[in-house]
Amino acid sequence: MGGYGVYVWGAYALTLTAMGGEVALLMWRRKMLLDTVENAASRAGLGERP
Amino acid sequence: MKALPRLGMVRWLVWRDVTLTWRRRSDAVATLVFLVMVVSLFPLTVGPDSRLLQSIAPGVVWVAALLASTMGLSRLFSDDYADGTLEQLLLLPQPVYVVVLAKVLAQWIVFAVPLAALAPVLALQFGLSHDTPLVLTASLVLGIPTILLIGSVGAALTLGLRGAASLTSLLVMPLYIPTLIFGAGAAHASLGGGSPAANMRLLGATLILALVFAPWAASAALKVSLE
Amino acid sequence: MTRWYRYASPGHAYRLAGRLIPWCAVPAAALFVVGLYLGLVVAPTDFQQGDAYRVLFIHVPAAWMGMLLYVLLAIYAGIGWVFHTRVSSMMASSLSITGTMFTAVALITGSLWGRPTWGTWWVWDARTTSTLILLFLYVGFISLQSAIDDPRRADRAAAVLALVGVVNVPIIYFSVQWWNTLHQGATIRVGGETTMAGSMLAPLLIMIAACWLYSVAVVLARLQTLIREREPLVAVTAVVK
Repeated sequence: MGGYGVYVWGAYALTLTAMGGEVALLMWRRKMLLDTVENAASRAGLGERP
Repeated sequence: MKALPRLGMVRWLVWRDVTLTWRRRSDAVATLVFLVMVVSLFPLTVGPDSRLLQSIAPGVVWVAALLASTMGLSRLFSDDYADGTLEQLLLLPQPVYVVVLAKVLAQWIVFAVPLAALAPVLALQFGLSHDTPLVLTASLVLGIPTILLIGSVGAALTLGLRGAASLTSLLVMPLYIPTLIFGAGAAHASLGGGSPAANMRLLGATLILALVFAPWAASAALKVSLE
Repeated sequence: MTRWYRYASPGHAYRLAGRLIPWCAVPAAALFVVGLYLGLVVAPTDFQQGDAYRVLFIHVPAAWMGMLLYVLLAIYAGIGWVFHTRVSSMMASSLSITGTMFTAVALITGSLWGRPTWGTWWVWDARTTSTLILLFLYVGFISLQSAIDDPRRADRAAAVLALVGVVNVPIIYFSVQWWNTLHQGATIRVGGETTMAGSMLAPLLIMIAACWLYSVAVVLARLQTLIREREPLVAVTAVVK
């Protein structure tokens, strides 16, 4: 298996990095916003994050 | 006041834009000088080999014409927008696409006509001979209006934004590609001794499509930008 | 049918997205694992291209998703513009980022496939050139949206651009193909796989499905994030209720 060469492995590595990076960025953004929204909610007297 | 008949309004709008440009003609002249300079830079960078220059001439002249057109397009609506005239023009009884068509026509008169006069000179600079300078000029005459029409949509979308000029170019470049391919292709065909007819017909087709759809899209974009 | 209209409201859309995401993300991950296994381990070596062809299993899905997401983006942006539904415009914005990512991945993996098989990193044929132009269209959409401060104007202007772009895509593709066939002598023709062995087709289809589900999950998650950003109190009441 391993002898597929740098091009194949490079392509897969790139794709997984791109997709993983997109998801990671998204998760980070959500977490940041979640905290902001939670603060806004508690200040407004609404319920908490489920 | 009774609404002017449509053709009279177009004539008036065109006359107004041309006159305003004439009063600030350094802008328009600068655009043309830019064109000539860019074209002149290429032989300096690729060397004086005449065969090479002949083969790159259509592409170089077309790209330079494209860039110069885009320079002028960012000013298409922005001056009128800045002093509030554009909103008044949109309030005219005529549909907005008439305003767009008139402005593009004015831009064509101010830019494309001098370009058509310059093109044979530029072609000679690159050593093109026989029919090719004529074909190149004809492709520019047929293709630059399409560029201006498509570019008007970009200019309308980026109205009033910071960095509108470069953003406009970025937005419309992909849309220019068919016209660029057919225009430069016509000159290439002539250079190779063949007939440019197919490319010219395709250029004509894109022009007709642009004439039908672009003013409408630009007027929709203007309404979005002016809300 | 009119039941679907309530998803034009950010609150409902937020909740629907929240329910759909796990149903897409988990199968996507599973299909990825299966697809990668079948593609990298089980599928046989191609007699023409050797093992370098295996890049196809991510290159083709990425290219497909890039094109598909652009059409979806234009549709959503158009709906948002015509019907003034904010959620539709937010969907278009979500789609733009994933679409750009896939198109860029398609271009780069295409280069990585081309190097060992054709000998060059880049070839100006109809498909590669059109994919490059698609990337420019995506970048234009994102740039225009980010250049305008007012979110309503940004959404609508980007919608106009997306619609003009999507209508132009066939014209651009035709012109690029025209240009390419005229200059055929200088280009290397992309070897088309006329029929594909079942052992190669299966991982390809699985990877396409995996990328599809991945896209749905990520786009919906980003939609939720956008709803939180733009309408924070709606988002809060949506999760609270």
